[in-house]
Amino acid sequence: MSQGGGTPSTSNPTILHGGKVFIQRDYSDGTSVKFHTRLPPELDGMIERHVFEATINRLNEFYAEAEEGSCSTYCEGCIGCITAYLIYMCSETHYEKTLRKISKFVASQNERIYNPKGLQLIDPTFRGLRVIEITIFDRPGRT
Amino acid sequence: MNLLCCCCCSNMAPNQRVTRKWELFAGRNKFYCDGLLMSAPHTGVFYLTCILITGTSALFFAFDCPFLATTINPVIPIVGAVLYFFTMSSLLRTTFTDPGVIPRASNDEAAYIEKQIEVPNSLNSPTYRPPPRTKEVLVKGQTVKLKYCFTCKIFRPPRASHCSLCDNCVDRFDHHCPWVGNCVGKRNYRFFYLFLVSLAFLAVFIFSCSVTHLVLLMKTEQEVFKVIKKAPFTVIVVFICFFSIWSVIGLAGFHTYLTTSDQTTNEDLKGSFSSKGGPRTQNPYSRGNICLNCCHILCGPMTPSLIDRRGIATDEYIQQMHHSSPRHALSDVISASQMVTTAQPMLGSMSGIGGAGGGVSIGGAGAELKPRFYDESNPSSSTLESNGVAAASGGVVNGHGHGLGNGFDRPPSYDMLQNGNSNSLAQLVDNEIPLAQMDMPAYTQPTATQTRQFRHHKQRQLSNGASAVEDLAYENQLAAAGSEDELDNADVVVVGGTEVVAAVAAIAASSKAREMRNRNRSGSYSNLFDVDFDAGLVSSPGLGENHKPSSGAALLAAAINGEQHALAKSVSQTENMYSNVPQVAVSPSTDAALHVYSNIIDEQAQQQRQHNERIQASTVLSSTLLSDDLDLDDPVSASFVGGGSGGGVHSHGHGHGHRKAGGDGAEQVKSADRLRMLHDTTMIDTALDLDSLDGSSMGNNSQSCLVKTAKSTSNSNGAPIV
Repeated sequence: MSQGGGTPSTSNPTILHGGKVFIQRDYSDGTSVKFHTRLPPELDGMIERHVFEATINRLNEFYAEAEEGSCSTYCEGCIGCITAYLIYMCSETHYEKTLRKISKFVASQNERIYNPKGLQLIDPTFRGLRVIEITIFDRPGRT
Repeated sequence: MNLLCCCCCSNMAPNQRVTRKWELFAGRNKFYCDGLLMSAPHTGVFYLTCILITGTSALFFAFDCPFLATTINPVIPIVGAVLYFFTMSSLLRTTFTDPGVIPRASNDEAAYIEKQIEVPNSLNSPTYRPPPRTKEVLVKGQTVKLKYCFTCKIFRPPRASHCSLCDNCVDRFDHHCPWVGNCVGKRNYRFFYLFLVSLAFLAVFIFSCSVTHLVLLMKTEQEVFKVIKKAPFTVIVVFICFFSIWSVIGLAGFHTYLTTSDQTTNEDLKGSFSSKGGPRTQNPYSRGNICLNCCHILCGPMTPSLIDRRGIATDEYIQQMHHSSPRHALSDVISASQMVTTAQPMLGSMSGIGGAGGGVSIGGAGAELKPRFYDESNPSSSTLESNGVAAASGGVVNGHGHGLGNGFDRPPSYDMLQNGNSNSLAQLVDNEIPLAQMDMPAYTQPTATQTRQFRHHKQRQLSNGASAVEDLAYENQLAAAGSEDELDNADVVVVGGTEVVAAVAAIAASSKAREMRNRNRSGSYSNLFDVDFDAGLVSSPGLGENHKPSSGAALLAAAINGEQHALAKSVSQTENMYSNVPQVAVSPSTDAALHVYSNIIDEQAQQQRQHNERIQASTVLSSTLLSDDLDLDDPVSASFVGGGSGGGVHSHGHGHGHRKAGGDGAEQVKSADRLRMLHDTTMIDTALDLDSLDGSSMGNNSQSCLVKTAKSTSNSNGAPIV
């Protein structure tokens, strides 16, 4: 897999075929899962800024929903504690359910928006919730 | 769900062997049940914990419960059982749950990050410094520094830390608990806390019940010893509980405090959010409320395991996660510095290049020395010189040298880079190769300061006379592997901070040195050891293998003077050792076999040339080293008369200086090269005066001892150290 990414310092970095761009985590609100919404320079021109930001914002909302400390989640935690967490053998946690929703969302976004533009979003779950990996498929690279 | 999956999977057809990701996990964790459970690598103490708890509880149930159930209340064993069950389940849950391991970066991701942070550094800069490995982010208005983890190749999220025992980055790392046999992190902190609390309750419960039992027995028996005889195990239980209660309750209380303030043990120990830090260092992660903090930590949503232990390891996954470089804190720096420093065996560590790279590369450098040396031995000395950069990178740290596989695969472009850059450190390193070859605790191109120290040391030793040589011998022996050229070793002085470096360099290079030595046995090294100065100065080859003591002196003299064309080969060799590059570089094409050792041959010729020139040269001897008994009329003979004595050394220096005083163009060129290399490698801006590369100004007080030119004798002798 060829190494992706141009030089961030230049305005129009050259992207190689099959290159990858990584959207990093945004820690401004603490340790909750949140990603930067800024369009990376490598993708400049390949996708509209507002579309990209909408996708990232929606992802951030999903993760906030997964990590929110609502009553239901607290109850779930307490019940799990009481049953020595054996209950999790039978059902999924709220977080896991939300992650499934995120997977579906990413797949749909890929299908509708990103794949036609030659991009592919990788679910952050596969990258340890560290980065959103965007693979640039075979398209003429911008120079 | 997890356990059910485990059972199902175990029914898979035996010939359908798939590799799961846990089998390729990069950390040191142990996995059980086909990746379902994981723990730390060493679980011995965990078994002790289990045995203690289970044993004590078993004794309690066996010997106390019957009595208490009948005497007081049958609910006591039930409560005890519930507590025991709760404690053990929490313990097992803590031990076998993924604490929140952050998966390592894939190759692409790591490269992307590297590129982003390496932009300001240029490959061609001889003063390569590792890129900054911290990133500052604002967390709720507070500045938090994110550190780069060299092992995992990621910038650690806030509150994450790398556990060296498990070799993982763990999210919200609390601590590594040997009693539990796992790290305590974000995902299993609640289990750990529950374990502590339930164990505290269990211990208190058992203790109180056992004491009650004994007290009740005392009422009937009246004598303590009889009671003990009647219920010995209860006494044991009481003792165990008594001693463990204090620590368990203490820990439970401490972690209650941490939970309510939403801190980790790590942060508390470091005092990250203590009030002493001022109002600015408030905990940005706290929700401000004790209840909210507790609820969130203990009952909040639990992130699923990020490392996907039971996923199938596809080829793409394997390719992406394969890290070629060794897992080392400095591996990134080293691999980066490798570009600048050819993996030349680095005898010296250039401070400019950075000790960080040095540590690891020395071995790699050393490993590389041999093939490279052989490859370039003939072509040109310049090639060798250009490889000297390795010295810079080589921190003479032996440990990881061989682990650095990158060293062997230096792309040719880097070689060209090195070769073409005459100012590179490579030149210095190249000159050092011979030293390594000579199996000496080589002159490892230390910093100017070190060089100075070295020279001072040598000077002092010389002045001390024979004892100096002995000291040198001792030091060298310490550093160098036993080699046939013990005299060489004896002569090489490892001074102060350079000792370790020299030792490592020597070790790393010793094998290669031996090979090289064997290869160039003819007369090259003999010069070093045996300084028959008189003969050597005048005649040349075969300086002698007989003059052991003087060799040291000669070496010292050569070192001090830093002159290329030492009077004797040994002297020149010494110079090679200490100020290698110029000699090699300057070695003209007179010698076909232009490798390090060929310097000797060259120098013999050069010496003779110089000898003639010297006669014309005025003596410019530094005041410091020169003794009064220098016979300037006959520098050659005068210098080497002393032999191994300190005075002799001085005279050597003088004579050396005399010879060099004249200096010729070649010498000047060499000196200039040397100075440039020195400048590049040691970042010494002050010393070098490249515009006036004449003997008088060269290598003078301003310059480090690394480069000693003929002209420099005047000053350098006295104050070789800049």
